[in-house]
Amino acid sequence: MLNYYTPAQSRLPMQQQMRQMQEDLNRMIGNLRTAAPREFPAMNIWANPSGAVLTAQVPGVDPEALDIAVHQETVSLRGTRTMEDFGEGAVIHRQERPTGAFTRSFVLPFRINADAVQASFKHGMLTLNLPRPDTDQPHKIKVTRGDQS
Amino acid sequence: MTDVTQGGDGEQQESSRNQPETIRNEPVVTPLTDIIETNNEFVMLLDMPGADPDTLDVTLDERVLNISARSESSAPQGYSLIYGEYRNGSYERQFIVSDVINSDGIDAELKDGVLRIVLPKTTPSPAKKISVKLH
Repeated sequence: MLNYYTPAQSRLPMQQQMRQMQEDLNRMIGNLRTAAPREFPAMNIWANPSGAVLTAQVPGVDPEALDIAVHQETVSLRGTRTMEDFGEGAVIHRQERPTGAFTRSFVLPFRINADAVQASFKHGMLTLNLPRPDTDQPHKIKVTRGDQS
Repeated sequence: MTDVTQGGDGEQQESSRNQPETIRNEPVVTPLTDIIETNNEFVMLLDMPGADPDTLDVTLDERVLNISARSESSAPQGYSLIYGEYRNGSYERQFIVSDVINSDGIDAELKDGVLRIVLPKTTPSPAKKISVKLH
C-alpha cells in the first residue's frame, strides 16, 4: 500500500485530517454494494391443505420462454431476461434492472401432482398452481368407540 | 436525467422509511429503472410487475417526470402466505428531465410489467456563427 509522504511542517490540523479520513472512507464504502442483490425473480409462496400457489415477479420475460419443471416435491423455474439492443452509439445512464439467465427452485413440504399444475402470466406476474395429489391429501380419520358392542 | 425519488439507490425496495406515511397500509416500491440515451431519444424502462394499467399515471410537471401505479393483489383466495419476498403496494418514482426533451412527444407503454417511456430529444438548433467586425 502506498502512503503519501507528508513532511512534519505541512501536516494538517487534527480536525482536517479526520475529515479527510472520513471522506476517504466514504468513497471506499460508497463504491461497494452494501446490500446483496435480490434474488430474481422475487417469489411468494401461498399454501393451504390442498396445495400451494407460487407467484413470481417476472417483468419483461417472455412467458413462452419460461421453463417450469416439477418433480416430486421440487418446483424449478428457469428463464432469461435479455437486455434490449439499442444499437451503436447508445449510452446507458442507469442500469438497475437485472438481466441474464436466472434459475430458482423450491422444495415444498409435500409432493406435487405434476399433471394438474397450472401456470398463468399476467402483467409480468407468473402464478403457478401446485396441487397435492388426491392420494396425498390429508384424510380425516373417524374415531370409533371400542367399548360399545 | 436525475432521480429525485428518495431511497432510489438502485435497489427495488420499500422506501417508506424515508417518506411521509401513507394513508394505505401498504409499501411504496421504487421501480428498478434503466435509462438509455440513443442518438435521438431517451428510453426509460421501469420494472413494475403486477401494476394495474388503469391506475398507471405518468405526468410531466415542468421538468419533473412522475410515475406512479398501484399493483394488483397477487394473493390467491383461500391460501395463506408461507414464504414472502415481495409485497403488493404502490410503485412511485420521480425523475428530473433535462431540458433537451421534446415534452409533447413523450410516449409511454406498459407491457408484461415493464413500463417503457420514450422521450424524444428536441432537434438542437445548429450552431450559429457570429461574425466579428474588424475596425
